[in-house]
Amino acid sequence: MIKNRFGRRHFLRGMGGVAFALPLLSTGIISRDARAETTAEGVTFPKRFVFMIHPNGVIPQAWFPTRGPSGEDSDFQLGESHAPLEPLKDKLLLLENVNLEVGNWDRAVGPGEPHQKGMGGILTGRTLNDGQFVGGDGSRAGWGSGQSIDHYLAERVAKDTPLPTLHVGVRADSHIGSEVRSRVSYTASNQPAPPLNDPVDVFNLMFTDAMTDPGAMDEIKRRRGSVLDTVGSQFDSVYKRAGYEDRLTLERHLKMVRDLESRLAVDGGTIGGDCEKPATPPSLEVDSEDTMPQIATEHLDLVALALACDMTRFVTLQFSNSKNGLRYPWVDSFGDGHGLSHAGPSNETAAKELRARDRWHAQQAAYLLKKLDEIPEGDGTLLDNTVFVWCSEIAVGNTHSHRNLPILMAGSAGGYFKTGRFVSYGSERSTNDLLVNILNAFGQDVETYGDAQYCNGPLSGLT
Amino acid sequence: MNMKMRNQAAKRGGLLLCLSLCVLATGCREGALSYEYVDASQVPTPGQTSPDDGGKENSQTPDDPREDPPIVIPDGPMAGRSPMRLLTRYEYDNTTSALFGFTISAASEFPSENLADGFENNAWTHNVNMTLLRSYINASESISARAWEDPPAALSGCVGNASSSALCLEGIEDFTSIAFRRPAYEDEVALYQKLYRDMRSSEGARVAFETTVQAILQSPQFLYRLELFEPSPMKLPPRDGGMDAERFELVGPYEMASRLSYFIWGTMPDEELLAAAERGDLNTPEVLSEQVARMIADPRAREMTRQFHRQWLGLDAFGSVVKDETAFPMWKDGMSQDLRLSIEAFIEHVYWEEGAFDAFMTSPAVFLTPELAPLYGKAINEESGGLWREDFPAEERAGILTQPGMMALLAYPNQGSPIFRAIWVRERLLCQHLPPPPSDIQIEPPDPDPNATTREVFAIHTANEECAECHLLIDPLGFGFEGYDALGRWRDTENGKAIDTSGELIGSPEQAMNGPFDGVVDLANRLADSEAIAKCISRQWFTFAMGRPNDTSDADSMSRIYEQFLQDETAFPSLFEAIVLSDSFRYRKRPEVAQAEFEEANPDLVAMENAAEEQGGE
Repeated sequence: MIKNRFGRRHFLRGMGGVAFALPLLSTGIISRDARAETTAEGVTFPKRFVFMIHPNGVIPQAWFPTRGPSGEDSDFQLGESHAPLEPLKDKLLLLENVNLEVGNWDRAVGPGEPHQKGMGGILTGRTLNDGQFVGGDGSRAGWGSGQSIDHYLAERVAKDTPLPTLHVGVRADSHIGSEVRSRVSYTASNQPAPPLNDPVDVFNLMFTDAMTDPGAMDEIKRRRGSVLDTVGSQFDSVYKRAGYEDRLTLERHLKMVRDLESRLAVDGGTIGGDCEKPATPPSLEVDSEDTMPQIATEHLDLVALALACDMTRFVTLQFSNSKNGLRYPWVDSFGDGHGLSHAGPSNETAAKELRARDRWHAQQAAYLLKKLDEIPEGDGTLLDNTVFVWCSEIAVGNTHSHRNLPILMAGSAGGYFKTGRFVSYGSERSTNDLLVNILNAFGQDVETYGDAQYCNGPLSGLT
Repeated sequence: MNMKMRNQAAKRGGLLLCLSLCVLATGCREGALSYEYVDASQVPTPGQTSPDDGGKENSQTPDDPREDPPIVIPDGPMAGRSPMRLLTRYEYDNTTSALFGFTISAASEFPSENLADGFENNAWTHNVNMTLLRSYINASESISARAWEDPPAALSGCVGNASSSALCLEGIEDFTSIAFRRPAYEDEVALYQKLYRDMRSSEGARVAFETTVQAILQSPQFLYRLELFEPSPMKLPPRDGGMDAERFELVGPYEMASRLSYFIWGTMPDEELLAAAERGDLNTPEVLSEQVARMIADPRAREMTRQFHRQWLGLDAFGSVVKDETAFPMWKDGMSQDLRLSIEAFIEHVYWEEGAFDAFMTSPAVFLTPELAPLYGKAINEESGGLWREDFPAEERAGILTQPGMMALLAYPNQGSPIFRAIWVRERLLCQHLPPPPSDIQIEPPDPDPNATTREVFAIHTANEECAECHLLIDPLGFGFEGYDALGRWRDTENGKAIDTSGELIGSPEQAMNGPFDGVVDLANRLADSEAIAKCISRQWFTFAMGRPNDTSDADSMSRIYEQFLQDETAFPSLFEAIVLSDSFRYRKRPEVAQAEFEEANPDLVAMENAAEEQGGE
């Protein structure tokens, strides 16, 4: 049974003293405060991490802000590419001179070419494994070699959301399929977490249960619990008869089954209260340049809703894959993306197309961030309780450098980050350091993440 | 932007992509090409070059060719690793269809497999994740609900007027064994029967039925091809040459039934295979040969061949193929799908009608649709009612390398790509890999001249000393393909200039194959006669069959597979049979041997596991 769009309020969890009615918003999304918890510090809301990536670098002149006359971090003008984000400027945090040290081409760390290293290293903080993937230059690399921070956090701070993470892609598997250049998120070394490219699949994964009548859902959950119990018991039967290597695989599988079991048992994940029923996305051709903009919008709507409904707190959002050769005809870009990115500085036609693409990506970011910012949570908005990071897997296409990776952040993670600033580092810093900042924002007391030799402690000046 | 500008912009983009190779791929030597085919004929080769780490701290810099240690080929028959294999989406849907007799295609909502060597079924990279695990729940719920309406024979006693708890409990035992592709253990059956009884008493027959089916469909024994270590009932004498019985054992009969059926059909064993397994004689060469012959004659073998080529040749990329409307006004949406069908029809033709690898490399047949025919200068065959075969002039077309679909796939929207084509030949057909790039070159490419021919533009690579080294392995090979444009059409001129199709192959694994050639037909004929390419294709099939690339333990099997393939004039059925009859397919390492080797190869992992165990971890 599907609940009516303007159906009854169904609070999913004991609300303590914080249940308060919220107005319907014109976006069709209603915020959900069911996850709010009353602690000694007052009412707190969950923190979220949303990571967005697009391939082949940026035009730095159009990406990086211009600093104002005062020289203050808060005195800056957004770059041309980020014009769509102007209304949210106070909630942005832009970084300069942060390098992807685990990929840095100048120093050529680990196997793989720059696109591969960027994808597999950005969220794991590690160099790649050896392996069989052929990069754009014919060289070879394997998968990322460690857990990415989204999964690290999901295991530690969000054990009771229906899904630990959500990975969505707009043509993320296009052309090359599932390989190191099309994956950013890892549950562990060699264990990439695949994005879903079809909004219908995302919808089914995230919201089938949510659209079931809560009473019926309780029954379904009980049954699923019994099924998974039996599945777990059967593991013992095969485990004791399996070979050593297979036992390791079985253990990994069982660990995930147990995690899923506990998440499914959580009271929640049904439509009601402040989480609205999403419209079923249309069925679209998922690997086509004709549908890319629409699929992006569908995904962004679902991501916003998944966060609003607290289905998950960790999202990766991927526009195609690295070194892709896609065209963006809807912004008059008919060159292939990777080819364009290699153009020399005098190639104005290519630069124009790339700027148009960068701006379109910024529009997508703005669309999502605006939605999140319209969902009230306590005194602020859902965006305020989020840290959003957008970057590319390389800095600039025609050099493939990992120096000064373009990084735009938004949201303060519940007031942890001081936004509305453009922070530049005199001495070059590592993206691993930024991962540490993010982990710290989630209350994780760590000083390094990934490979410690590329860590220098959290980036200064962000909090 | 007007159309002309669009076209030029697109062209620039395309050309510049190629130049990226120039930026990245220098430091090449012929000897730096790695060759992934290993068999018993190869003498151990020392590292081709001495590691030149030039005092760099990180031993894994691209300056350092990171040569594998010298290959040591073991003597005599052996079998490689046999890790458990998660069903792919294709296998999952086939298996549930075979098990239930209806098709739901639930796996279409699963996330895609993680590829290795282009293949989806790699035992180590195709593994579970939370999204997939969650999708398994949804899939099992859809399937079990449908099965209540339309139960499989084994479970017919659970549903309907004549149903009873006792009948259903009996049925569960049978059904579990079928779903698991082996006799279920008593403890397993007891678990599912308990679930059924508990649910039946609390929630009734339907919920009990559905949850029991769900539990079976979510069990690892269903989701994986999990080979448990039971002693094989067979006491076969090892074949000549002697398999070391201390280290290896025959794969059990039910497990062999699954190896066969998933390799040749991409689905679970049928009744005949299970019956042969029950008799216990499945793993004899005679019975295996009979079964392979029977299975190859089944349409499911054709579908499996399509799956193999979809992965090996990267045909899913047709989904992304677009062509520039200005350069090719005759191009229409949907033609990429026709080109894909054309390639599939060609493969079907060479495998099942011509039947030999030689045709794969040299047949002038091209399969056309009414949409495609005018594009390639042919009249529409009104009578065909679908795809039809056209034999093109032998000087224009020879086999897979000249298929219009392949040429269009290995191209940009507005022009062909010598680079894509050459790398594809190296990687996919020669099993060769280019060395890693140097670390210290940054070149900003010049703006190319849009009126130049493709060949002229790429001459930049070889004119530049830094680029030339590596591009000599790529460009001269790719230039041979200049006779085909971005649609795979035959052409004599480009931008008003005569096409030059001269090319050169250097550094191939077979000395006799190297040297100048004129056009792809010339190249294709040379490759068709070569051992290296026949070896490579047998390696690709082996990788697909085993769910892992060959390793040194498979060297003896690889030799025998290849010899059989060659002896039978590269007939594909012989190749399939030879793979099935190989030691690698029929034997596996004994559990204690497998464990010892695994532990030796993964000391860190083992230390971690032991530490977790000591901490009383799960």
